[in-house]
Amino acid sequence: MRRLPRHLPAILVLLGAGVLARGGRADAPVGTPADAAFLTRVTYGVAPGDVEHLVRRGRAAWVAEQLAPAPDPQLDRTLGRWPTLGMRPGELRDAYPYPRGPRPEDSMGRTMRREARQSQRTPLDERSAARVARTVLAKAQLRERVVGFWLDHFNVYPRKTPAMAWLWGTHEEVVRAHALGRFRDLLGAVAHNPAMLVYLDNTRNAAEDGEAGERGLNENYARELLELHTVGVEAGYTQDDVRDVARILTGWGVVIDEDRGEPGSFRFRSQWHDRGAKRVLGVDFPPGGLEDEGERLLDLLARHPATVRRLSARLCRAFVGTPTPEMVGRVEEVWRSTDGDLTRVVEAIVSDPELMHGAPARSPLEWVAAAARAAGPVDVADPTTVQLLEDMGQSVLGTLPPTGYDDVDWLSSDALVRRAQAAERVGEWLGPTLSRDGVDTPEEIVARFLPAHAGQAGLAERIGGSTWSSGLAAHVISTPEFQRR
Amino acid sequence: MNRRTFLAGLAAGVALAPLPARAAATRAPLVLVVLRGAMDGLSVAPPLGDASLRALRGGLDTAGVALPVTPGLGLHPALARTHRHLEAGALLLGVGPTVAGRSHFEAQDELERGGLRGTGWLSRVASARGLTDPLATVALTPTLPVALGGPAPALCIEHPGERTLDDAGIATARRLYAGSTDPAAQRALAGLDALERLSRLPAGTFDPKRDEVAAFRNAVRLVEQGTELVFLELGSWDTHVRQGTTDGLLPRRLAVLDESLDALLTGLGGRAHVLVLTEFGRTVGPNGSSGTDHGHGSVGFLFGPGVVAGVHGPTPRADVLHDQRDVPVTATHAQVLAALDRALGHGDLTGGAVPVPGLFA
Repeated sequence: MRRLPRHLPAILVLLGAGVLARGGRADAPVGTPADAAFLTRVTYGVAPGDVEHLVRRGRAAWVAEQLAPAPDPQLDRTLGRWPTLGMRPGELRDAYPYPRGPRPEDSMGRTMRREARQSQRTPLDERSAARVARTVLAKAQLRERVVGFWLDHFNVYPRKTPAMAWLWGTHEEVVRAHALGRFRDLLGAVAHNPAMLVYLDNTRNAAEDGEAGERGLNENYARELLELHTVGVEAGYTQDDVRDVARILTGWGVVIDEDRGEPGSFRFRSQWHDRGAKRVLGVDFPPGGLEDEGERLLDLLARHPATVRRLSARLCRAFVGTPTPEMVGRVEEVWRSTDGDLTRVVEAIVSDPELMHGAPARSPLEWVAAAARAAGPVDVADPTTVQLLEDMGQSVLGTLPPTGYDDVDWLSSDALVRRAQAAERVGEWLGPTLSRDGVDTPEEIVARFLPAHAGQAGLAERIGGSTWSSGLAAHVISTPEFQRR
Repeated sequence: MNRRTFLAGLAAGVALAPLPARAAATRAPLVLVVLRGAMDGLSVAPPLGDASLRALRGGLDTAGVALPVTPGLGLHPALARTHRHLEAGALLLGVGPTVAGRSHFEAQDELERGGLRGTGWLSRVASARGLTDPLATVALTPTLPVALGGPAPALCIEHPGERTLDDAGIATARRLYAGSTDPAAQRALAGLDALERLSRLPAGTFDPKRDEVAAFRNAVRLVEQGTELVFLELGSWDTHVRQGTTDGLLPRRLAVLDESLDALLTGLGGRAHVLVLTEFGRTVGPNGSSGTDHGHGSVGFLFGPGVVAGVHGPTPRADVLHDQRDVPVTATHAQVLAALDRALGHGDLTGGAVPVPGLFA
């Protein structure tokens, strides 16, 4: 019953867009450089057929299609390569145990232990390759971009402790599940997330002088929850606020052993909880509160005007690079009026009249993904690509500082030199597919890789000078134009 | 000067001089080392005589094992080599950010910008010294630090010993970037040029290892080749958990710092200024995880020509704490940087910060 009305506007838009794009002619719809520029900005890169699909659908329907959950059997088949993706944390822990005990005396024992330690990280290695696969191959490219944004916003370093190898996957799952839902739900899911609680030491956060023996407050998560995840330093909170946020979150921890529930799930230790009165950003939390006061805290932070302003701006920045204050204001208004409905917020960003303002830099992952998409997409999801990205300064799953990669200058002189070097290898990966498809002139390479720059004078001449598809691909992805989206 | 003559000038530089010749012998090179994550100053330089402070420190107190610096102040035993260098160096106490916001990112930003917004302090030093060659100002880091953000050309290269592109690759990349109006293209061209000149240096000039200490050895090599400003960093000082005294997270990092500073200072042989700072200090008392949380004042080190050796700043006391939990800041980062600016003739680069007195003779 729900299907017909939902698809009706899409059909109408499709008809309109088709007429416009065809200009009255009867052949397949063609896009303009502006359509290609739009896709370059809001996806991980333009693959063959993407512009035509956009024009057939029309932008509004295309955006709705990209943001609505939809099956992607081709991607699922690829993800089937990595069995650990479907395993629960407890199963991963048992299948890939961390080698313990004293250091082996003989070299064979040491080799075996080193291999066991490598094997223990298998779930992270598979997650990394799968993340590359999703970035390059997912049909819902815009959705994937938004997931990538929130994984970076709620960055969790997957190598903090050995246990992260079996805890980290849940983090990606919950962010994926809530990335286009309500911000309050996303924030809550992350706050109950074992990987986050371990990463920022909240598993050690206990009431001072409580029943947790020698333990006491640990402010690490509390501080980042305020500073990075929600209101930001501009909100003007004090050390007392940080301390009381930490006190509210005392006892928020993780199940490690089966006797307390499912391993790797959230656990509230009421005996570690500080039951005194607290006050955060002028709001009182009366004495006697338990886990429920944490929920009240998340309500307060998720809807705080400083959070709405800060995260609207950050989300705009992720798409536009340097958004105008007017654009941020419009997106902020949508966030406020929809109570943080992230689907509406993203729709507002990608349909904003100033979406094309600025010239954001591509991160290494965005750069490799854009190259692989332009050439096929070519499936480059393997450990070699993950290592290449690591060499270019980007760990696929997350970085050490809790700021993630926000504000990293991806186009420093050294980074660009490293890109020029990596381009030769990436070109070799893409060459066979391009040759097979007969893409072997500078003009065709430009049309494929830089469709938003089609017709730009001198571009094809600049990337010429190689007679091989792989060489031309290496050249085109080294141009200044390809470093931005 | 347009881009073409700029390139021609650099190309000529390749043939004539591998690296820039220093403008004046009196102007010593300068190395800024940022310890990211907030190093616990009280563990590094523990006051020896204050029993109530030692009681507050609890299990983290290092006064009992410290090497003596003055009768009232010690140095962590993991810093034995630094301790020897301090015979000609300054130990700065109570150094930190203006406000105890206790955010790593804000405080590092304030440190690297030196009290002003917009550009980094080291970039302003490069401009004040009239440095225009990217090889004169180098960050041995994976990404360009805030300290070098600004109009002055600077090179960011993590492993100068690695040949990343061959000559043909450099020539191709140059062609692809030529003529672009993108500011990144200018940076890429400058980077390619610098890379080409580094590759002309004899094999073995740089330490090819990828460990943390190698960057400090390579800083020496760069200064020997004519680089004037170097930025270095060491991370993982955020000891919220199991900080330790002689065994634990902090002493392991201090051992790396000691080896790194020793490589740097021994290699430089007193001909450059070396300033070591961290964004803030940590709580006096331990938290509930045998670690420390974010505090305010910490310690710093300064070495080089004209530096007045010894301890600068008041020794922390249990009865003079900030917020009843932290060492107070008695010298802001900007004030320390201002002292260098005054002594080294940079002019005022910190928006009028009052220089810490007595650091230079």
